[in-house]
Amino acid sequence: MAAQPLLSVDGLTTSFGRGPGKVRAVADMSFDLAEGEVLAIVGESGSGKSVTMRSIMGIIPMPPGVIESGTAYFDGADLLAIDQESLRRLRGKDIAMVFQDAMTSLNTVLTVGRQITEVLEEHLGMTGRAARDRAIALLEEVGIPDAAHRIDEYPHQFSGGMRQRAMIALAIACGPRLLIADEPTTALDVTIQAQIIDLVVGLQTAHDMGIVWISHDLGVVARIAQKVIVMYAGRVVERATVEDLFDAPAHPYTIGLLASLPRLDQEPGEHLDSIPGQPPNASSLPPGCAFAPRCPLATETCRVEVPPVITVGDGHKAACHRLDEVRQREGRLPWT
Amino acid sequence: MAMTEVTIDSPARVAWRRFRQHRIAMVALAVLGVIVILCAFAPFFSGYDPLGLNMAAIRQPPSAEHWLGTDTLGRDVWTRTLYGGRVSLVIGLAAAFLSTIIGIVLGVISGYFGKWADMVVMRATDVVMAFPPIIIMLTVAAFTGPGLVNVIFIIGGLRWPPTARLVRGQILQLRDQDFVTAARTLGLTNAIIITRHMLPHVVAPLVANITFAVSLAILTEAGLSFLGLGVPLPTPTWGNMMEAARDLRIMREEPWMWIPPAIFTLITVLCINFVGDGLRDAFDPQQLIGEK
Amino acid sequence: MTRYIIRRLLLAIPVLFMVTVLVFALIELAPGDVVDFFANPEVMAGMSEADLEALRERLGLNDPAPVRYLHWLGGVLQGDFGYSLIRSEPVGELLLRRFGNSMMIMGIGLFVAVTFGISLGIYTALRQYSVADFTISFLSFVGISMPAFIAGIIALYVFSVQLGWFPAGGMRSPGVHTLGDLLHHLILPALVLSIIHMATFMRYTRFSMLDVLKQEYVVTATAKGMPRRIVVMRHAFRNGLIPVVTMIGYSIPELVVGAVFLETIFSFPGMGKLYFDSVISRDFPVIMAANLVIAVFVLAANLITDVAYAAIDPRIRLE
Repeated sequence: MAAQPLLSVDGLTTSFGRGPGKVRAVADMSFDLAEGEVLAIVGESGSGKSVTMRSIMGIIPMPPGVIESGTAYFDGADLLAIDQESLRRLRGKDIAMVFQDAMTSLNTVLTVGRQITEVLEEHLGMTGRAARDRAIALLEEVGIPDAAHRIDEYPHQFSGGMRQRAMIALAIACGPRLLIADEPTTALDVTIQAQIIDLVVGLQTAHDMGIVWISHDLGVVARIAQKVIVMYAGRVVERATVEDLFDAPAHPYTIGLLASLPRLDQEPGEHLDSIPGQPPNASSLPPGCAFAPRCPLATETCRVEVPPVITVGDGHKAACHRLDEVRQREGRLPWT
Repeated sequence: MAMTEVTIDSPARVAWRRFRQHRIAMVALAVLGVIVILCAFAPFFSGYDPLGLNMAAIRQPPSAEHWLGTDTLGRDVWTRTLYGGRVSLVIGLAAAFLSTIIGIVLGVISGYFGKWADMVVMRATDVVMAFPPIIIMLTVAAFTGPGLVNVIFIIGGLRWPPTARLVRGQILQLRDQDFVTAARTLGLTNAIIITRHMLPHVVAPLVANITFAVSLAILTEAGLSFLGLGVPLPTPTWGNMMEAARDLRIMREEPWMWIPPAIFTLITVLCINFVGDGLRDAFDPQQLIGEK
Repeated sequence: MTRYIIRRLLLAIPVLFMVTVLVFALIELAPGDVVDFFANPEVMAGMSEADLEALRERLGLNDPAPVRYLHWLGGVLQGDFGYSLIRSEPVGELLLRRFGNSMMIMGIGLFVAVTFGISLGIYTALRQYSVADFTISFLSFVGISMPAFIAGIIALYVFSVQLGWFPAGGMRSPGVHTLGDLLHHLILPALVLSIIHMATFMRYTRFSMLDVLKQEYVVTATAKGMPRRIVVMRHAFRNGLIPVVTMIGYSIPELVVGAVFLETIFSFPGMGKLYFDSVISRDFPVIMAANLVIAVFVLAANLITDVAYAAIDPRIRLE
């Protein structure tokens, strides 16, 4: 059964600015997402994960943003090629997005309810009482107590966790088939993070949405995603199922990320490893592998040649010159 | 031991470099320079006496002898415009200087010492600002009588509230910062803490404010003189030359008497404002719009 | 909200009190008193020095300043501003009538400035760096550098004297009492008055909108699939308006100043011209009352601004 993917991105390249100051934020990004599937895109800030999804949504500022090439098929239409009006009708209805900081992402001068009902009005043609009742039901669904009253409050009257719940209610208002979650738990306390993740997992099951979850935190990813894409400096360095990624990470960068995760079986006081160095400046990427300057296995080849994408298992790929070396060391790198 | 030479640009140098990139401000600065030179060296650009009456040549339209014509008493308008510029510019600078000094002193007192000093100064600014500036100046000018020095004191003495508020705000921000606390812990006197440690930080936001104060003062003088309550004749200023336009006959029949000072005033003020805009961008790219 | 307004009103009382003191003190500082002024040969010929002294005594001019201040303040609080020295008319009635006339000019001027200033500000913000943006921004700079009196004489010269489109002054043509005639007289000074404010509002709106359009909630609104029009007007503009409202309030004093010049230039019988004429002729009761009325007007405008600010920004409402 070859079901058509819900979202199929191929060769997406997005850059900012032009001339010598041009920065390539995303280079040659491709992935498929099936209906009801949860995909995580992982990387440090500036790795291009957020720009990827914003490019697809058509919400990067242009100028200075430019989508240089690529296609993104959703439901038979190339989101990067269709006209603005058609894309707008999809946004918020079939493809919805939850942002990192609900405080700045919600409009301070409009009530939470108004920000939900306007979506219902725009996409579903609901008005007045019906829209309001639906908005209350949505707030209840995301676990906001006393929703009938709190619907008339402003975002600043909500707590951080409640604001993010409201943001999620907003996103699922029109029953989207694809939800893009752009680090929705990063700005929250750990306990609230867990609640929000549980909420999204529950909603995902109930509504059978496809989800692209953007995060820099592999720990969060393990709890929610089926497939993972790891990005570094605008490029995919590894893609795998969650199990494969955690059991047999292939790319040195992924290995480094995993090593920096705290684990329960760790001795108290045991040293947590972090990857030395800083991510490269996107405007002056090295000619070869962008990770080479920080990679303990890097050779001269790594520094000059862009690494090929190599299949290491079923649906498991990595872009690295040194995969054999990694395998010989059984995933143990000098710093782990 | 080899040491790498590190040159650190002073803030003023950085600001000047940024200012030069502001093309309109550079043009404005050049135009302003021309106007200042014309006015400052007026005798080189005109052979007439600005006060010299010539009853044989009154109300003459522009000609080869009198480039911009003559006024009702036969004085050369071009000459009076240049000499008038001197007075207008001097008043503008002096009044802006005065209001800035008052503003800084009161702003520092209010922001640094707080409590009742702050209370008194802030209520005083509220009271002064309750009167539209020119309104109260008209009353004061009418009672103190016209005169160059009076005009400077009236403008300088009543235009300080915005500066005081700006300085107060800056000082309030600085007061709680670590380097000020450190200076206080070291037992430095208030005077030294204020002048040596705090005021240098206030300069940058104040620079643009001062330029706008100059253009405002020039306009205020022009306005007062236009209404006959500023600098009295026969001393020419751009403002009292424009007063001629209040006579409908002159406005209609002899526009050369009032158009030149009007144009000089507008261009001067426009250029100062452009320069101020450039300075503001140069010193602080974040803040693009300030007190008008 | 009501508590906020009450608190603001209470705060205004000491300022208002100081304003009355200042208004009175200004007149005190003036050389001479009312009688001296009238004691010029033309007006008061034939009065002896004893007569003048008797007049002083009768008018209470020999009382100490604080007594006279309280006397004056008591009258003001009862709505008694005294009589005009020149126009032999109660100052209260005179001011009321002139203030009404001025409100027409200032009202039209402010309305035009707000409407066009804000519209142009939004327009240029949405087309940043375009030719239209550059042109309008440059013109706005000329506008904020253009004082009312210079704009006034130029407009009078061009549109009334040269082109003859508008009457050269006054409020009504003699014997004509139509609205059209009134508007014909009002429109030129009102438009000139609006220039500087239009330019100011345009610059503030543009700046504010450029800032707001970059905010995350605007991205959210776009990501929700809201049409551009709603994103701009409901989401961006509602926020962008907040600093502009403050600016409108702060422009009121400058509006009054503009009215003084323009009413004088256009011989328009408003409070600005009355004020100027009274200053020239030293009509003390009128000057004092006008100063007071103007100050109260400015303070009231500030209060309304702050209340409007609180109404438009829900984060302030609860404090």
